[in-house]
Amino acid sequence: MFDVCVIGSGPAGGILSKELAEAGAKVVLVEAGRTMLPDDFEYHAWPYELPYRGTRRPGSPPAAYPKEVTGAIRYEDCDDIQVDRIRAVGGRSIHWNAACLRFAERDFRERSLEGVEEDWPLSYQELAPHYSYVEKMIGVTGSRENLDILPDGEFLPPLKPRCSDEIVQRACQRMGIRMIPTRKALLTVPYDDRPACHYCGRCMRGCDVGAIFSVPVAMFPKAMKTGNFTLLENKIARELLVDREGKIKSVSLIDTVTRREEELSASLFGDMLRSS
Amino acid sequence: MSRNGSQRGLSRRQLLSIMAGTAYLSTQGPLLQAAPAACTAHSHAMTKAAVLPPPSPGIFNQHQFDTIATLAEIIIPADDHSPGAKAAGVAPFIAEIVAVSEDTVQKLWLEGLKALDGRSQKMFGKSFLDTNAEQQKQVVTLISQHEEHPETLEDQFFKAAKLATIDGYYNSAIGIHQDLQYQGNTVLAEFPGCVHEIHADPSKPAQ
Repeated sequence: MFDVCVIGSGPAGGILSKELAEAGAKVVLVEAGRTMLPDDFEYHAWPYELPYRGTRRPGSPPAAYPKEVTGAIRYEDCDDIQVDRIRAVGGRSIHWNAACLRFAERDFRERSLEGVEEDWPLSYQELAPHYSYVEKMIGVTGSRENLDILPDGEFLPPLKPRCSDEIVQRACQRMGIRMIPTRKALLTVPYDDRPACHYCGRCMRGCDVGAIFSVPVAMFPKAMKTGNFTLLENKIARELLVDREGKIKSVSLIDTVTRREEELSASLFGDMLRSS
Repeated sequence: MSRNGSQRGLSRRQLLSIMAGTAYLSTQGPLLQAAPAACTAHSHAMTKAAVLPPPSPGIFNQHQFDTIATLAEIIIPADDHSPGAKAAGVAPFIAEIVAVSEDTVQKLWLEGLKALDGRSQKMFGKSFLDTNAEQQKQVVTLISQHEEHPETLEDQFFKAAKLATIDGYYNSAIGIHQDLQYQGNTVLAEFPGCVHEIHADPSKPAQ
């Protein structure tokens, strides 16, 4: 019997599962996609080794991803903001550029200050220790700059500027714009049993050595070690099933391999009201 | 295709020193939970080459295909720095892409090629392919005038042809390795950062 069922193994679900497992809960993590193996991604392929020389034709996903991943990517009516959505163990954490910027104090009060969005129910000061906690967990490169708009965090050494950075820097200086090293969940030194970046420059292709944070590489080994963690892949969460009082009793899953419907329960479900 | 003469890229000496730094520390094998062996045996050799289809003219006939190849070579010609669009197989790339493109795109290419020949006939009494190099250059100069704000079919066709030529060329081995001398997509034990003083300060002499 599980205590907690987490649905979705992306950055949020993956980290939550690891945290709960370490805290002693029996966790089951349900993921619709399958585990991606290093060979599934064209990590260091050259464009000319790929179909259509790796070009992205309008309306279609990049040629570099495995078929069932591209199959799950959907570009829906989204104002031409083409967001990659992938269905895989680790979710978008296995395919992201890893930018990790803290919100500034003012970002929490945009309604009060600018009349847009909504104010957050918490302040930067309240969130700051949690930012630190996660930054230390995932490893973030950056430099301390003392900027109000981009609060400093817990940083590994910054990346050195590339040629293009130097050239842009020159223009920025003339315009009085500060330019700083990027802040991303990338290891510039070996950290937490993960190797440092090898600078291949293909971050979005997935990082085969795990120098960029991903749930499978950085969180699962820790979760596994607790003995409290179970991963169920290839299972789509179809619906939360409720009892007569409207309390969640189980989740209905469709196994994408057998096509059968299953029910999964967790002891904490009973304590959770269905959110309407 | 050369750019800006002496100021391009790394000197031979720097290139060699960077290449010498690429010996990979194979002891850094991480534990990708799903497949640790694949990671410890990590290598930057090409992981898995796609099976590429053999070159085919797609929806184009031989005349159209040859016209595309000639036009592409005018857009990115061979020079003393690197081979051009023809050697980089830009026409087969374009044929492949256009073959899977929408009807409107296919129509633009087919009608654009017709317009190109029409223009050439009007100017020199011959199809584009049958004119000499100087005449071809004059035709291309004419149809490329409105590249920024293409209006006519000729304008739009030229823009499409140029973009597709750039895509095909700079995603080819020749474009990446010989023309750009691209340094990425490899394993560096350490990233030195930009080592060209001229990039940070243009008043410094080129190295």
